[in-house]
Amino acid sequence: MVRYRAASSRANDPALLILTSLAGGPKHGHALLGDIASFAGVRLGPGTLYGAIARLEERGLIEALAPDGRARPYRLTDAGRRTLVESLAELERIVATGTARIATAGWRAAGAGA
Amino acid sequence: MLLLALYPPAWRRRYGTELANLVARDDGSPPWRVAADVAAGAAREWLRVAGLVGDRLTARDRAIGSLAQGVWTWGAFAVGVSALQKGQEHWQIDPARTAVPAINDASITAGSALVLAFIGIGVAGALITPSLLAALRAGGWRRIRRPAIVAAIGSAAVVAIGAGIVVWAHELDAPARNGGNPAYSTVVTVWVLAGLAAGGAGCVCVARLVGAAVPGRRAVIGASWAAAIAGVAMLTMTVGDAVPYLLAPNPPPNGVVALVVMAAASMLAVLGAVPGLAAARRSI
Repeated sequence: MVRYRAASSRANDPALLILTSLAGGPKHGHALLGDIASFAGVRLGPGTLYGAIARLEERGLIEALAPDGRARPYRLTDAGRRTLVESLAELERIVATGTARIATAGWRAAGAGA
Repeated sequence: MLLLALYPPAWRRRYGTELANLVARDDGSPPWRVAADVAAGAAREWLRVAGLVGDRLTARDRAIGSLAQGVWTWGAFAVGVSALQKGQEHWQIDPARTAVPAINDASITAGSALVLAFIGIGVAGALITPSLLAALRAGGWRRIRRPAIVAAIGSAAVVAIGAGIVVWAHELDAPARNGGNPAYSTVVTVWVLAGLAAGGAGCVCVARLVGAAVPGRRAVIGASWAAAIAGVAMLTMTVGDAVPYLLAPNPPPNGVVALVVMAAASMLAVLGAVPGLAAARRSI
């Protein structure tokens, strides 16, 4: 799982985006695309989306629900929820570190320019 | 949607309907971008089926699959070089060459396969380096040490002798290069044998790495696809080279022998791929 967490900890990783979207409740493909576009500003292609869905389902991180008409919704599994929590925690550490360093560098730059 | 046909059958059965539904809903994306995304997704799925990419693959799986691809495309490369050279030379010395313009086409066919094989070697080289090092560090080197040394020496000999042949060939006329100069013919024969030795030793390395680990299914599938592609390329070259020979009066005997060797090698490559391809068909 270490390799997978590392691979999915990029903020624009399709798998992470899908897990994040499904954390808000089950969704089918079209709803996933719309939700991801709204919260991440990223429009995934259909091939990219279903490639990632296939990998996530293969790993047991998401599961398919009964078809709703012609669409099939997916939801997070417990393993998927744990993976999402770990991935977000990694991202938070990176964000915190980066924010702190930028603030420090900005202070130094401001001090050097003064 | 026609592009769905590009996906592996098992994937298509599971996700095809959903993907088609999604594509059918116009979300404003340019059609070419959607098509490119779907086609790229299909390519990724086939690479996973072939055992060449995938997060769950071990370093050994990746190494074996990539190594097999490299060995077989290298074989296609070597045969392509020979086919190209022989095709051109027999065209030069053929007294009836004006009646068999197809020999030019044979050279072009072989040249195209040569370029494809060269690209394959580049891809295999890029894929192989980190995973091969990991597999070798994990004990793989002990199993392949001897054939690997033979393959390395054979490859070095092929390169060195090949360079010498190129220089020498420029000093000879076409009849001398095609049986008229016994020394030159001997060196060319040694060059071919060195190539076969290096390729054979490389195949032994692959076989030992496949036999070294139980989870070789993906690797066998990848190797089989690579062998099949190489075999088809080799067969194409053989047929392309054989046609003008069949049309030409009194074809040179050394060319006929070369065609027999190429045909045998092509058949072996295709036959070697059959068991793995059968396993691939069952798994997709």
